[in-house]
Amino acid sequence: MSDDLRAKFRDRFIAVAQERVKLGIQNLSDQGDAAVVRAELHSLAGEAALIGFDDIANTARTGEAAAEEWVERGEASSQLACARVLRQLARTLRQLEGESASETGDAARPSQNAERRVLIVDDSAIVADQVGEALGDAGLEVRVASDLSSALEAASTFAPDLALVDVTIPGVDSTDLCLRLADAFAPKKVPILLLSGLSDEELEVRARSAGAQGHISKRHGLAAVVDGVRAALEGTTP
Amino acid sequence: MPDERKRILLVDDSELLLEMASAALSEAGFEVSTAQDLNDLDRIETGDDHDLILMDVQMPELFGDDVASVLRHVRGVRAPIYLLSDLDEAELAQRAANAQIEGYISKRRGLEALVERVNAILAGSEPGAEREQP
Repeated sequence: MSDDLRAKFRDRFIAVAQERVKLGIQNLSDQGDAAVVRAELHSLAGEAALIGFDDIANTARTGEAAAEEWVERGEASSQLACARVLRQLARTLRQLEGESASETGDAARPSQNAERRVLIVDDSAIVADQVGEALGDAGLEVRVASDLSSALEAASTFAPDLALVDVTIPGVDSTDLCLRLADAFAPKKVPILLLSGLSDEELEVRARSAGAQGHISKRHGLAAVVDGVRAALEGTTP
Repeated sequence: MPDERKRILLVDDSELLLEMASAALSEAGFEVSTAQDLNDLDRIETGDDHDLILMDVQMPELFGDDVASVLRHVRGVRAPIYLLSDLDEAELAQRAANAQIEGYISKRRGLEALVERVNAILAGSEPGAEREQP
């Protein structure tokens, strides 16, 4: 294969691989389809190997093996292993994309999310880790608080640009939590988004009654959470 | 002047892979046709129109080795058929043997190796070359 052909397919490969990883991440939730994750990683491995991205191919195969176990046994550990691989792939592909842009003279633009801070309030360490890692991969600085007191402390010490709050934090209802967080953020207006596995309709009602500025349902996968946070941050000033 | 280029049929569900492999094989002087699914494959005359068929294994509708077996043993396709896959090579060898086709090519070895293997197969130094002779 000539260098011209390889260069031509390099950018195309990166774009297709990013779509496969995105689809994989969307299917990581409990409502997702493990078989889709496996199929996307298998296709990605083959495409990467053929064009000569052997490290990406090997990583994808590791994820494919984890997805195979997830399909067959349904174990959460395999699901988490898939999540780790998909995020690693997402990071690698972003680096490649940046190198490609630099080589073509289209200097990589700094992320609009650079140095934006997100406070995650969630008592589930697994959820907080998953969401936190996905937001971190998107270039955001993340702090996790597992209860009301640590959330209030982080409101002043971490000074987030946005708070992502689980609907059910033990010992405090979401309305009280949102009010106290808003007080702690004052005078700065920091958007508070409710995060839950509830449906969009149920969350809409909860968010309104709690005084939150918006909501994101985990039912749409991690990529949708990242997209929702990004969209909300676009309406704020760094 | 008749076109004497060897004709290759590529079957894979990945559009990108078909594009990359087609480009590399076309650059090497082969005439390449592609099928992305069974409907595509049904529209292509697989009989004696091709000198070599390269078949992916893990596709959404069927395993490629099963499709290859049907082409060879039901439809009577005489062109050499090789599996083209990212699966482990021991598994590929077993699948090719079970389907009673000529062999396999690993995607893991890259595009240059793919072109080299295709050249070797069609030059007569690998199984299936004898089928090329009238």
